[in-house]
Amino acid sequence: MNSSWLRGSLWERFTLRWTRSGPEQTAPVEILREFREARKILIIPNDRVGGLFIGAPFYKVIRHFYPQAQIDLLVEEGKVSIARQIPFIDSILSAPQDMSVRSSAFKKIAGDLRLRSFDLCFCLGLDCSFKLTQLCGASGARLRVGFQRRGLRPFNIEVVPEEGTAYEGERYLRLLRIFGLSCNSEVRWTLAQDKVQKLSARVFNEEFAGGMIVAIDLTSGESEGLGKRQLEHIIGGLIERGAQALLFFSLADRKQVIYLKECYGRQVIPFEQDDMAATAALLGECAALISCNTDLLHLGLALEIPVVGIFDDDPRRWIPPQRRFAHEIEVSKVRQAGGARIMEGLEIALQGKKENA
Amino acid sequence: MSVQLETEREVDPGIIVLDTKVPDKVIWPIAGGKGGTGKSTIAANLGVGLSLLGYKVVLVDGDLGGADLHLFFDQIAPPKSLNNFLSREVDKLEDVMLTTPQENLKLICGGNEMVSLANIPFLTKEKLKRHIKKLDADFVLIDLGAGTSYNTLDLFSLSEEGIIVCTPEPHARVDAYGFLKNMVYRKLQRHFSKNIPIKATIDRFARQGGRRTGRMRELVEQLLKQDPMAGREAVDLLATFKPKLILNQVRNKRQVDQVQRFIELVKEYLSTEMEFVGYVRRDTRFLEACERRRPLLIDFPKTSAARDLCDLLMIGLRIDDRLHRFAASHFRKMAEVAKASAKFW
Repeated sequence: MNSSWLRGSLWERFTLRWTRSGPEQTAPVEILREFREARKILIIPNDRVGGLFIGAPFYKVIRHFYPQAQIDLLVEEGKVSIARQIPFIDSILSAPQDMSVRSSAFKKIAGDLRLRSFDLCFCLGLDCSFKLTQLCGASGARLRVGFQRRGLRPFNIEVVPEEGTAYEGERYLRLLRIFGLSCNSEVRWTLAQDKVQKLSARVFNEEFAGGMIVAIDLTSGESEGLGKRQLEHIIGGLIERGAQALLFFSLADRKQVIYLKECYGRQVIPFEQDDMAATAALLGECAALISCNTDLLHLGLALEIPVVGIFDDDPRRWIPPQRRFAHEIEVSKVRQAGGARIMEGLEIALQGKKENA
Repeated sequence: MSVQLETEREVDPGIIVLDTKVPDKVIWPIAGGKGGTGKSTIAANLGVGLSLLGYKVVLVDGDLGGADLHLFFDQIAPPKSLNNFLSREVDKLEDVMLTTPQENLKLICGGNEMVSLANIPFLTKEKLKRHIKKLDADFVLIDLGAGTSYNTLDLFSLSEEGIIVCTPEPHARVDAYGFLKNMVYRKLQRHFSKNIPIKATIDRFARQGGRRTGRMRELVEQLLKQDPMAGREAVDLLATFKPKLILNQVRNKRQVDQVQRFIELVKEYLSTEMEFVGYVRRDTRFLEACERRRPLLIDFPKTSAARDLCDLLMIGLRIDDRLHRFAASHFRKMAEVAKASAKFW
């Protein structure tokens, strides 16, 4: 994930502080009445890939309390294919990933959002989604609800996250509980099996049909990704077990993928994760996932496959409690997690899944 | 910003079914009219090239009665071939698919053992076409035989963007033109097979087709007068047919320049837009590779002909590298990867 997208470039943040020193001056609104009577709702999820998945229970609650409302979701272009499959949403609005808050594309989208005259806009995500947060501020929605941001004031209802680390999805639901919106929010994800089989037949090698395939997320996100030695250790371990590695990569990680492909040949299957729906389909066919950022982690958790997450911040924020098939490795730097420790984590996650079943 | 979905959906209890799209499949029949223009060589090398770029490829030897594509993959007596499928020994075409030393490349050998395989019945041919369409791969390349038999024409009609392989010699150009002409008439005849008056007009025109006045435009005008709806269908049919041209065994630049004249001729007389996608230089190492029963891209990946094949794929046919290893200009890198994969052969 492009870090400038997540946090905004230094220049953008600097200029925003100068040009927008405080919240927009608008006429006073009666919060509870506006909240109750909202008919057009915009939800802006956390812009990490997993954000869509963490947010699903939130969308379900909103739909439950606003059955007649028009609920729109604003996501980046790459996630449209998966976002459109969420049944609680009426329409998907997309924004290009590489745009500056000063660009004409940004202004055009903000203008389009204003034309839609949203009554209520929720901006999810706590410390990321910089540009989407700015879009929330520029959307012109009468109520703009989000978590407090340091130095930026895009919302007119700011929720201060409570102290301590909690699962991010739970925080979204707590936000709704403040307004008295609480119901069964459980969501399960599943895959359309016929398409999955066709796609996996296209991607996986037939020689290894029936063998174990473990997915490795090479995308680095905000932290540094897995290092060469770690990957060699993991892939070597998988080959020893007669398994194959499915490498999810983005354009930025292609050098690592090329190196691994040249080293391990058919034992590794590279797959560029430009289409999230296809990524989900292939991930669903894997026995486990090893990931060092939240991008695919939530997808894996949503699909209930064993997951090994390597985190350089508190894993409780990203892994929901009581998931026995999710094993977290907490390190100060991702590259400090030894290959043996990761493989051990994989065993634990696989065992957890067996016990869960 | 765009609105991607505006539908009314029922709120279900909380199960989200993720659907996905299976990538499109491309079928490229490879023909040329004349024998010896290098159809099989090009098919084998394109197959290897596409698999090097990370695509799943199935090579089908559609030269019924004269199959030899398997020889490029060191298969002297293939254990399974189209024979087994056409004689109903197996139900599915996948059952006669052979693996090759090249990752992601599968081969369906044609059969020579069965007598009269070149003249398969119509229904068997339709079954073969149906099964080829069902093959699961990113690219299906069908190596067709020389000549303009109905078998060849019908297999070529599996795609609107088939590949014509031609050499610079006038004989090859004449045969390629003849093949295209037969192809266009065959398409029209099959499309209007149930419209008797229109079919009669097409047949009558086809019999006169060799004369100078036999331009396809004139036939379309006649059809438009006779039945405007059928005429428009014929126009659409001709507009969608866009074969690609590869010039093989090129010796000098002048020969490449002459291709444009040939394309204009096809456009003028057959109302068919043909796209010139590239050329491959004449290289004696093609023969050496043939003798070693391997494609040139594997045995001699650094030759100028191999470079032409890479350009053909990445520039002419606009195929992207799935692993982003090489851009169109990075021929050397692709050659190195081809060389590395040769150790599996």
